[in-house]
Amino acid sequence: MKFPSIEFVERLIGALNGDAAFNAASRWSDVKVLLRFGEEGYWLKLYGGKVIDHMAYFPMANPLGWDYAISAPLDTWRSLRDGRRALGHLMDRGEISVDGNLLEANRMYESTHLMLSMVRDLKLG
Amino acid sequence: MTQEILGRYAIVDGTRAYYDECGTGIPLVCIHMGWACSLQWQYFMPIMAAAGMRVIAPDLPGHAKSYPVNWKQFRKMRDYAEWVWNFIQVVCPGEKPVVCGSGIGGDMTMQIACHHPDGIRAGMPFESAAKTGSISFLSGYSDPHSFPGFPALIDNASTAAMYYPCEERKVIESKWQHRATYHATCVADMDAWNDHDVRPYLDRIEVPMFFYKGEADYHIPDQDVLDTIAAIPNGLAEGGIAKGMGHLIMMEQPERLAEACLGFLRRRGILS
Repeated sequence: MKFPSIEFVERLIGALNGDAAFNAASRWSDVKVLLRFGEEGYWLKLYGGKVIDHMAYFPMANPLGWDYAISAPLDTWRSLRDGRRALGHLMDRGEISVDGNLLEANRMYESTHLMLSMVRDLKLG
Repeated sequence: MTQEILGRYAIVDGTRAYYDECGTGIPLVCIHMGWACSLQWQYFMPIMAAAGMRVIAPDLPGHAKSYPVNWKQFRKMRDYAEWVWNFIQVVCPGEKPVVCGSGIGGDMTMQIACHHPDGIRAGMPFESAAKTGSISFLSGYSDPHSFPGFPALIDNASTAAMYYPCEERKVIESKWQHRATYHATCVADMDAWNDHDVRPYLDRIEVPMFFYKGEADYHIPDQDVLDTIAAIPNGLAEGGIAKGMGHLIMMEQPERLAEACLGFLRRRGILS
């Protein structure tokens, strides 16, 4: 498994759905999230505390579109995953940017924080 | 014997302000960080009191048990610092205190040292420099409807720059210390943090200054602290980067912080 890849995202979804904190922070979610690792995008449907659908995303790939996108250059994601940069720092400074419907995104702030913590910590082996 | 912390109120700038007090001796005024309150200093205060200081920690206006002045938040660091200066005149009349503070409290310490240079014995800014500013995107989110998840942001952003691994109880307690301040005050704190710049006034400083910053605190670049120390004339400034510590320096390792402060105050002849 490499990062990023659809296999990584599927393992991420499994970890998120099995995480009680993520389930609680996302309990009243009904959003479509675009997770962008550099040039690669992954569409996630988050509903009722779990990620219930996903797909690799490219322009016009999904007619439902997305509510908010979480994006950063690949080097930034790698600096998060190898521990060189702190998640809070990257989010505070907008180096990992959240854009789109910000009312919805900000309502789901904790859910996003837990999702990105899992992106940081998920092992490739 | 552990020094007892007592809660008190004072009227400052026409508004009711809360403060904790501990010990007797030379006044040491401790100013908390943005979004937080006087509880941040509860482990630091008794150590400093045991060394012969009257330690005083206010809740800044709009935080925890202190009302905002005229029911409005401060958005300029100079305004915040002038409130602290007026608080000092009320609570320590006729005395020159040592002033310390962290984050925005460190900024206020620097503002007082620059604008009231003969009014204090020494300044100890932590997690601060001559110019600060990091979280720049919050200004549009003052009203609660604009950011329904704001409490989650406060929980995470207030503890993200601690030095990890950190004892879980300290992280949880630190989150609670940031949960008693109104959303709009938190936004205004960041406006003030971004507004702070005393670089043109550093040559006015007349008292010893001790700068201390945790290595894990990404809100302040290490070099900004070191540059500030170098820019203060006449050898008045000292300090540096604290290994194994982060943004919440007084909560993470209060004993080490106190030891560093007491060393400074004794070297400078303020404590015997």
